Amino acid sequence: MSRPPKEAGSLSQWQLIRLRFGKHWPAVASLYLLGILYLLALFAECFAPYSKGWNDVDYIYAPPQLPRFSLEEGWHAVQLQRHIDPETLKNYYTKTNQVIPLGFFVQGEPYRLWGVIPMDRHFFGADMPADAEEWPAYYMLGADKFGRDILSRLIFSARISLSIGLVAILVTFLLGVSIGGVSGYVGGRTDNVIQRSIEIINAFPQLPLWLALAAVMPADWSSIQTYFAITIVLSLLGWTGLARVVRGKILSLREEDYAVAARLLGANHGRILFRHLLPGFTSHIIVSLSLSVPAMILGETALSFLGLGLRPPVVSWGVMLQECLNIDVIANYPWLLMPVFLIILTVLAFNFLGDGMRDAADPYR
Amino acid sequence: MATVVLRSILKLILAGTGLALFLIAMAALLSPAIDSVPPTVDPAELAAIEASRDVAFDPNDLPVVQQDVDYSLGPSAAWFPQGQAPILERLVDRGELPPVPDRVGPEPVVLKGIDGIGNYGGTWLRVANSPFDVNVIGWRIGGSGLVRWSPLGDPIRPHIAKSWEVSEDRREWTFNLRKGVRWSDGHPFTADDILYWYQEDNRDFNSVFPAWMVTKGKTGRVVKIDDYTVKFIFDEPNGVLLEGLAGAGGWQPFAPRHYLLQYHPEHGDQELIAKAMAARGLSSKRALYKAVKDFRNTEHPRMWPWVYRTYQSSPPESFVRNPYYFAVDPEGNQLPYIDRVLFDLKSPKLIPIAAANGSVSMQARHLRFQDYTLLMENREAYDYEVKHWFNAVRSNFTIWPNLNHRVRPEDPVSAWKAEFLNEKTFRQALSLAINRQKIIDAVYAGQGEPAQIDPGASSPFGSEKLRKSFVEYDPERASAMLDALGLDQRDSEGMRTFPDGRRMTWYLNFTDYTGEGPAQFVVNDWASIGVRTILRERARPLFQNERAALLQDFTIWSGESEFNPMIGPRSFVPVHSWAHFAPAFGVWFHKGGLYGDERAAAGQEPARGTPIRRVQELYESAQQTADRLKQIEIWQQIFDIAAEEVWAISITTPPPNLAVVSNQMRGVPDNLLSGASYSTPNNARPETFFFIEPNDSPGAIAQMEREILETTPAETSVKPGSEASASGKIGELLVTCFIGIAALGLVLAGVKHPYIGRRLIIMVPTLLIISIVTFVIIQLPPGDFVETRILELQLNGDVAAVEEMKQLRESFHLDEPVWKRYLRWLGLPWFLTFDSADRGLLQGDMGRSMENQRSVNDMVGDRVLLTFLVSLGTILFTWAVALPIGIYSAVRQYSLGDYLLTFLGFIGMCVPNFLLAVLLMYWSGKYLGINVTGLFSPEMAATPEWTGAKVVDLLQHIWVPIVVIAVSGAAGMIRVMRGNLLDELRKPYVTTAMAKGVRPFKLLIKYPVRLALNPFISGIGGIFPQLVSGGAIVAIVLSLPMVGPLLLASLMMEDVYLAASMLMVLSALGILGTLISDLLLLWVDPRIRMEGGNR
Repeated sequence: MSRPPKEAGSLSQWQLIRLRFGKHWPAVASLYLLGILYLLALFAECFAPYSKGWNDVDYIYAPPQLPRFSLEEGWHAVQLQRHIDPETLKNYYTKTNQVIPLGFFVQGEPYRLWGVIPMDRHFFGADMPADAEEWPAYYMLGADKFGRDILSRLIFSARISLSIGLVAILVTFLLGVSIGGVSGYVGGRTDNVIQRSIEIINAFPQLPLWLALAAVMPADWSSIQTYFAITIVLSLLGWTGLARVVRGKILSLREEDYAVAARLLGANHGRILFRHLLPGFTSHIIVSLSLSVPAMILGETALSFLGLGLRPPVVSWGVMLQECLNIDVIANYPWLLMPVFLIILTVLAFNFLGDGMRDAADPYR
Repeated sequence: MATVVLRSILKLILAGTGLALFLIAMAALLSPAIDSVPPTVDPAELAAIEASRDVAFDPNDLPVVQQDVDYSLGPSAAWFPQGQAPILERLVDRGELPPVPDRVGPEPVVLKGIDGIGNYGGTWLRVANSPFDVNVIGWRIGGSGLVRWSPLGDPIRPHIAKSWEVSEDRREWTFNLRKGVRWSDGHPFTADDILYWYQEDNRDFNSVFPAWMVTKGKTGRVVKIDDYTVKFIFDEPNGVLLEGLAGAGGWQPFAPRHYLLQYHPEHGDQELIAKAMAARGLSSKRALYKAVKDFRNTEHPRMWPWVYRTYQSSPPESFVRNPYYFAVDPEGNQLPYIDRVLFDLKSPKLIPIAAANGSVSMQARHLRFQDYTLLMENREAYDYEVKHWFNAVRSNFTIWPNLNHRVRPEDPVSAWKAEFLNEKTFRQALSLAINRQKIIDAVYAGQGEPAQIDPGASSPFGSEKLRKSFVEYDPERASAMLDALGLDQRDSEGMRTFPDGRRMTWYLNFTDYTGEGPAQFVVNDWASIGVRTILRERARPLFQNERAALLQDFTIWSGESEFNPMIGPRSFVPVHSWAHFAPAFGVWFHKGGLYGDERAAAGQEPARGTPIRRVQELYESAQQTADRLKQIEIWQQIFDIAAEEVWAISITTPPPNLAVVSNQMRGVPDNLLSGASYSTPNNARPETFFFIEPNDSPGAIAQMEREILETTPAETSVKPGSEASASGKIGELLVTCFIGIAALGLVLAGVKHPYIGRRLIIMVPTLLIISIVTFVIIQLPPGDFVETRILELQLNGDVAAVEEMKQLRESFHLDEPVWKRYLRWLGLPWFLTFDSADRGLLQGDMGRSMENQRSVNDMVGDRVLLTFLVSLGTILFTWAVALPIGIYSAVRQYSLGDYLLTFLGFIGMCVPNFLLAVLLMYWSGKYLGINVTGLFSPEMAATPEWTGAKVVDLLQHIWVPIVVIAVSGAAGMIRVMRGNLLDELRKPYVTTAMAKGVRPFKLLIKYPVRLALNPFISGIGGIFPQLVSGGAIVAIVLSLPMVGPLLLASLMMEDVYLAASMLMVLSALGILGTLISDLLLLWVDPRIRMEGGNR
C-alpha cells in the first residue's frame, strides 16, 4: 500500500511524470523487462551456465533440452545422444535414460566476473556433485554448430548488443543537443544553415552508407576498435532527429518569460541554456533517445549479419544470426533463431518505453 | 521507501521469470520432436546411397566416350554427318546455313554418350556466382582442346587433333588436325591458327608460355608442316605435353588468326584498332586486344559447342548452339544435343538452395559437401539426383604455412614468424596438436579419415607415408616439441610467447572459397597447447593482396588435382606463385631459376641442398621423363621429403564432389574424375548430355534462331566495318530534349509555389554534398583495386600485364589527387573540352567498373528500374495495408481487433527485415512450393516473351521483398493513421454531421480520412529513402538483380567508381521520392497552395 500522494498542486514535475508513466502499463512492463536484460548483461558471467566460448563437439546442433519437473528428480532435463542419419548425413538426437539434475546457484565452470572477481557459482545450470569430473553439457536453448550453448551466448551477446545501443545513444545525445541547441538558440542564418544541412543528411540512404562505412573499416582492427567505430557509424545519421526536437523546443521556450527575464538580468548564454532552458525539455530528450535505440540495435544486427560489423570472437545477436542465413539451418535447426526473439523483445520494450515516457512527459501533445 | 524498493525488486523478479518462461516457450516451439529410438532406414535405399558415395574406381576399367573410327569410309559410314538439330534444319532449309556435312566436315569427332543417342533440344540451366564465373563455359562446359581427358582421366583422347605421333626421344610431337573443321563463324580451322597462337598471340603478350611448353627452362617451338599438321619441337624430352594439353582449360594453343590478327597491336589494322579503342574508351592497344579476347565478345570465333551471341549486361546469360561444331554421335547426328546453356547469377550462399529447389539442370560447381543434407533431402520433391564424383582434389581444407614470410626490419615479430614457419619441428607440432577424428565426426559427419594431402590411395602415385605423416592426435608430444624449440615461456593469458618475450599471435586467413570449415576447431586445438591464433575471413582482393606481399602467416585453401601430381604438383613442390606454402620460391622456379634465367629474380631462390630445392630438382627431372613408372618413382622420393617437412597441414581425405542432375537429363556419368585440371565436367563430354523431353517455348526457340544467325555485341564494341547508327543519335537527342522540358516544367512550378521552389533549390547542393561524401568514403581504405592486381601480377613476374595495369591506372586517373578525380567523376572537364572521354556524372555517364572495364550505366540500367519499381510497389502495398487497418483501429478503438492489429504491426517493426526475408523464403518454399530466390523461376527466365504466365511468375516472386520491406513501414503508418484519425474524429464537425444523419461510411471518407491522409503523403518523402536502403539489404539477402547487391559487391572489391555511382543512384532515388511526395502534397493539400507554403 503506497503512501497517500501529496496534493496534486504540490507535486514536482518529475513526480507528475512518474505518476502518469505508472498508468501506462506496457511502458512499466518494458521498464522492468529492460531492467532484467541489462542486469543479465551486467552479470553475464554469473547468469550464463557456460562461458561464451565453451563447447562440446559431441553435441553439435543439439536441440533445446527443456527443464522438466518430477517428484523424484526435481528439476531435471533428459540427456541426449547424437546420431547421424546414414542417408542424408543429417545430425539428429534421441533421448537417453540419463538425467541431468538442474538447480540454482550451482557450482560450474570457474570464471572471473568482469574479468576481475574469480567465482564459480552460476545462477542456473546443471547441478553436479562437487566431485564430478567435468561439467555435463546442458543446453536449455540448444546448441549451435560447434556445440556451444545458445543460452550462454545469448546472455553474453546481450552485453554487446545492448551496450552498443547505449554508447551510440551517448554520441547521438552529444551531437544532437549541441548542434540542435546552437541552432535553436542562436537562430537566424546559423539556424538556417544547420537546418539545411540536417535535410541534406536526412537525404542520405541510411543502410548503404552504413555498408560503405563498415566496408572501409580496416579488417585488422581489434574488437574494441571495431566496436567503437560501429557505434560512431550508427549514430552519425541518427542525431538529426534529436537535433530537430531540441531546436524546436528551444525555439518555443526561448521567448518564455523566465528566459527573457534571465537574459535581461545579465545571465550568460551558457547559464540560460543549461540552467533554464534545458530542464524544460529533458523529458523530450529522453523520449527521443529511447526511441532511437531500436534503430541502433537493428542497425548493428544488420551490419554484423552481413559480416561488416562485429566479427567473431566477439559475440552479438547479429553475429549469432550469421549462421541463420543458411536455409539448411532454418529448416533443420531452427532454435538458432533464438536471438530474434530477444531482439524483438528489446526493440518492443524500447518502443513502448519511449511511447510511455512521451505520453507521460507531454500529455497535451 | 523500503516497500517501494521491495516491490520494485519483486517486479524485477517477476519480469525475469516472465522472460525465462517466454524463452522456454519459444524454444519449445522451435524444438523438433525427439524420439527415444533412431528412425528406421530402408536397407536397400541405404545400400544404394552408400554405393554411390563410394567413388573409388578400378584403374583397369576406364570408360571412354570418344570413339575411334576409320575416316576413309567417307559418306557411307554410319557416323558421317547427316543429322542435325531441328532448329538448324529449319535454318538450312531457309538457306541461311550450309548443309550439315559442309559445316561439320568429313572427319568429325565421334562421341558416344553413356546413355546413347539423345534427343535434340532443351535449355541447360546453370548458376554462376559472379559475372566472371560464367567463363566456365569456355573450359569446363565447352572446352575444346587438341586432346581431351576421358571421364575417369585416362586415356587421353583426340579432339580437335585427329591423331598424334611421338618421336622416340619424346622431343618431337606431331599432331594431325581434322580436315573440314571450322570455327563458329564458318572459317576453316587450320595449322595457321596454332602457329598464330605460338607467334603473335601468346609470345607477344605473355612473358611465359604454359608449363607444358617448357623443358629445362627452354620454350619449345611450333612448326607448321602443312595446313593440317603441326609439330611441337622441344630441346629436351617432354613428359607432360599430353596431360598439359588435355588440362589446358582456358589457355589453349590456338587462336582465330583471321579474326584476331586485325586487332594485333603491331600487325593489325591500325585504323580499326583506333576506332575500337575510342568506342570502348580504352587508351592502350594491349588493353584492346585483351578486351577483344574476353569470353563475352560475341564476335570472337570459338570452338565451343555453345557460343555467346548476344551481349547481356545482366543475367541470365545465354550460350546457344554452335552450328559449326565438329562432333557427331555414332549415328551421324551433329552434337551438341542440348540447344542452349543459360547462366543465372546468384550469391554464393543461395546457390545450394537454388540447386536444391530444382533451379538447375545439372550443376556441380559451387556445391560443397556441407550442403549434403539439404541436397539429399529435396531430391524427391524437386525431381533430381545427387551424384557423387571422385575428387581429384585431395583435400578440401588445408592449412598452408608461409615459408616465404616477409621480414620487415621495423617489425621484429615478423622475423620470429619467418624463423618459426621455416622450422619443420614447429609445423610438425602444429599438425600433431589437431584432433582430426573429432573434426571428422563433428564437421564432416564421420566421412573421411585423418590424412595429410597426397594423391590418394586410388592413385598410382599415392604415398601412404605422406598421407599418415603426423596425423595422430598427440598434444603432449606437440607441446614438448614446442618447448624444445624455445617457445616455453607463457604470457598472462597462458599462451606461449616468442623467445624474447614478445606476444605471439598467428593469423589464419581464409576466404569464401573454402569457407570457414573446421578452422575454429583447429584454432581451439592449437590454443590448448598454448598457440594463440586468430581466424580472419578475407575478401578475395585483400587475400590476394596479402599473398602477393608475402605477409600472410597461414592461409587456408584446398588442394588442386593431386590425383596426378604431374598435373597438380603445387601442393608438394613450389612450382609457381600459387604454391601456397612458398609463393616466392614458386615464382623463382617458374621463371627458370634452376637454369639461371635472370627473370627468376622476381622470386626467391631456395638455397642449394635444402629440401625445397631438392624437391624442385626432382620434379624437374620427372617432367623430363615420359615414362610413367619412372615418374612414380621420382615422386615417391618427393613425398618422402614432404612427409618429414609437413609443408601442408590437412585434416582428412576429401569427401566426394556433389553434382545435382535433374531427372530430366541423361548422359551424365555416375562417377567422374572431378577437378579443375580435368576441366570437370568437360571430361564427361557435355555435348552428349540430353533431355528426355525438351520443352523450350516457341519464343525461346525463335530467339535462339536469331542468335545463331546474328551476333549482338555490346554497344561499345565496333564491328569491323560498321558505323555508329544515325538513329541512335536522334534518340539521344530526343531524350535530352525531354529531360530539358521536364526540368523547365519543374522550375516553373517552383517559381509559382515557393514551397516547391525551396525544395528544388535545396536538391542541388544536397546531391552535390552527398556525392562528395560518398566519393571520399569510398576512397578511404588504403590501396585500391588496381594496386591489388598490380601486386599480384608483380609476384607472377608478368611484366607485360603489369604494364597493362599501369596503363589502367592512367586510364582511371588513379594517380591524380582525390579532388581532381572527384571532378573528373562529376564530368566537369566535359564543359571545357566537349570530349566524349571526359563525360561524367553530370552528363549521365557513371564511369567504368575497374574489374571488367564495362560501363557502369550498362550494368546498372535494369537494376535501377527494378529498384524503383519495388520501392513503388512497396509504398502502394503499405498504403493498401496500413490505411484500412489504421482506419479500423481508430473507429473500433480499444477493441480486440485494434489491440491485435497494433501488436502485429509492432512485431513487424521489430523483426530485422533481412531475417524476415530469409524466413519468408524458407516458408514460401516449404508451404507454398514457390522458390523465391531471384525474380523469376528458371523456366520463365529462359523464355523471353512476356506471357501471362511470366507476369504471374514475377508476381509470385516479387511479393517477398515487397512484403518484407513494407512490413517495417506499415506499423509506423498504422499508428500515425490511427492517431490522426482519432484526433479528427473528436472534432465538432464530425459530431454535427452524425447528428444530421450522414451515413457513417460516407462521413468517414469524406473529410476525416482525407485530412488524416496528409501526413501520409508528406511521409513518403521520408519513407522513400528508407525503402530504398531497406530494400538494398533485402535484395542482398535474396540475391535480386537490384542496386543493393551490386553496391555490396563493389564495396568489397574496392571498385571505386562503381561503388560511388551506386551510392549516388540510391541517394538520387531517395531524393526523387521526396520530390514526388512534395508535388503530391502540393496537389492534395489546398492549405499549402493557398498559404504559399509555410511548413
